Amino acid sequence: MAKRNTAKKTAQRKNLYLILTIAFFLAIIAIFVFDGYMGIYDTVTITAAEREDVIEPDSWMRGDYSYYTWVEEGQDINFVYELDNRRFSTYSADVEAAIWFGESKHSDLISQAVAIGSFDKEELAWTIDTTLLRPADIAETQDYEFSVIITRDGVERRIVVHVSSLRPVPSAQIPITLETVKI
Amino acid sequence: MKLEYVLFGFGIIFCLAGVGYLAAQYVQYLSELGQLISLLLTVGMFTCLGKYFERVGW
Repeated sequence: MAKRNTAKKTAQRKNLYLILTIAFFLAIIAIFVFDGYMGIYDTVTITAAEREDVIEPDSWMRGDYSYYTWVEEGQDINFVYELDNRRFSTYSADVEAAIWFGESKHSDLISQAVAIGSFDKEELAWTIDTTLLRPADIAETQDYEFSVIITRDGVERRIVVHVSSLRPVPSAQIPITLETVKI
Repeated sequence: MKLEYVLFGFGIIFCLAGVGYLAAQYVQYLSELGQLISLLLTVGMFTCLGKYFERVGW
């Protein structure tokens, strides 16, 4: 009888270790899901003419430093920067966006302090008119690029905008010589 | 018979390598606290698994 009880206890303990193993495994999966969901996520939506580009938070996390988009000169380009606070506390930060040409800052777009409640979102929007952006040293027939850099709380998001010139390129002055062909 | 065991061995190794690779990729997106808790849970999981196999008689 005592032997049977001991065997039963051993079997129970063996199962207990197996159950604990499964419980730990499920807890790890739960942490992956929970921790992956929590945090501060930012999404940028760029609208130019009829085209809408959405830069999801995943694309920043993948380590892509820059995101490229394009617009035709003279068109407005609209930006919507959405901050999603998936935390139990309020998120406060200073959000700044500016236009940069290479290493030199051209102009500020927004500079705003935000305080987002837990599990809440906030959107910041601005529009860039590409008519007046062309640098003086770039010919009107040439395309050019500028960057929109969004910074908040030590995080930098860079979006490179390619502006296509609508001016036709003048045809090159190629000398044409006519030769008489004798048949 | 022996070949079957070798194939089983390869299958288990590939499964573990795949799960390990996916976990290593995903861990990058976890917070430091999440990484620490995951590490502790992993240690606990393998300890319990080891004790289970010990009890089974491996």
